Amino acid sequence: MATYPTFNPGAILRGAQLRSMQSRVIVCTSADTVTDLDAEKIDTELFCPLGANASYTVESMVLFRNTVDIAAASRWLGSVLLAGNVNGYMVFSPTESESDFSTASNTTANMRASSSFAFSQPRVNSDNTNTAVWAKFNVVTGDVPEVVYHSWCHSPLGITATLTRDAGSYMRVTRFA
Amino acid sequence: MTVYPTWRAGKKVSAELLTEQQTHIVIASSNLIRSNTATPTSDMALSFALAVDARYIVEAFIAFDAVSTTPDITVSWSVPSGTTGGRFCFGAATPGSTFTDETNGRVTVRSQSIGSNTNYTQHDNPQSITEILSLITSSTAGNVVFQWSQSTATASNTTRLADSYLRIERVG
Repeated sequence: MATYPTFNPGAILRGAQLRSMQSRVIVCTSADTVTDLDAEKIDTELFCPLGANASYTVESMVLFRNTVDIAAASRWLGSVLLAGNVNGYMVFSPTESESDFSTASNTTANMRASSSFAFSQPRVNSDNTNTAVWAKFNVVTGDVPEVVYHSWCHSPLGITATLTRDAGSYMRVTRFA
Repeated sequence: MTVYPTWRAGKKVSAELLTEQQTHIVIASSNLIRSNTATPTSDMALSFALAVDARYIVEAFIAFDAVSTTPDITVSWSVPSGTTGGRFCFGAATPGSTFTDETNGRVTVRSQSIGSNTNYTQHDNPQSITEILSLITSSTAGNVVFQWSQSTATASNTTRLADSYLRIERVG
């Protein structure tokens, strides 16, 4: 079991200690889009700095919508520039391909452990079924600060359509060691 | 990125601020039975007061039993006027005829507007639902309230089971 920070009897309670035990939350206030993008795009809002030599749990709820039937790939990454370990993914998302996924009431979900995954996205205009991806994982950083961010693109790549990460999506980052 | 409250060096630590920082749990202590209704109404056992101009993450873990495959359950939310945000829906979605047992069901994973109705289905066994809301309130105070009804109005009961709960965290 790990908790952070460590409080010692008689010690002065410091603002930094209280801050470090708070979850850091980003609630997206605007939508972000990719159109015909063949490389993962870093999310403009779901982006959080992490301290060095620390451990965090990360929980995300990412909401998507689009204008035509396409598949999308969504991925959570630790920093691509600095060392760090991203562990323990748990992902709830629509499956990558599902013939029944054209109706709002009859979808099939992925429940899997993966840092990169594809999921299908039904047409908004046909059935108003928007998609949600719920992911939980933990990040252990190394000797230098890092970031954790959401990135996504079309899958298969190169489809000319707009895929929107909706406002109201959020990420919650909690330090536990 | 937001946190709540904002702790600075020298800031006075008060019971009020510590309480606001805590995660709040609202547990329904008893079953709630409804029948002959297909219009979601408030379940006041699963309600929490929200401050104005604030941000929250609300997680709902709901258990229900619809007795038969007919009525199922429809859920929605009531929030203060002007509140915006997102909603994640996760629960059984397969028609009852193919929902052969509790370990062989299909689930819906979708986003939905906060006040819209989402239908969940049931076959022989009680079901569970997870919904998550990200809420940004405006200048109007009020409660976030879980709402539900049968999906198909019928005389047989649909029961929101005791120990269903909300977990609310203020994050800004």
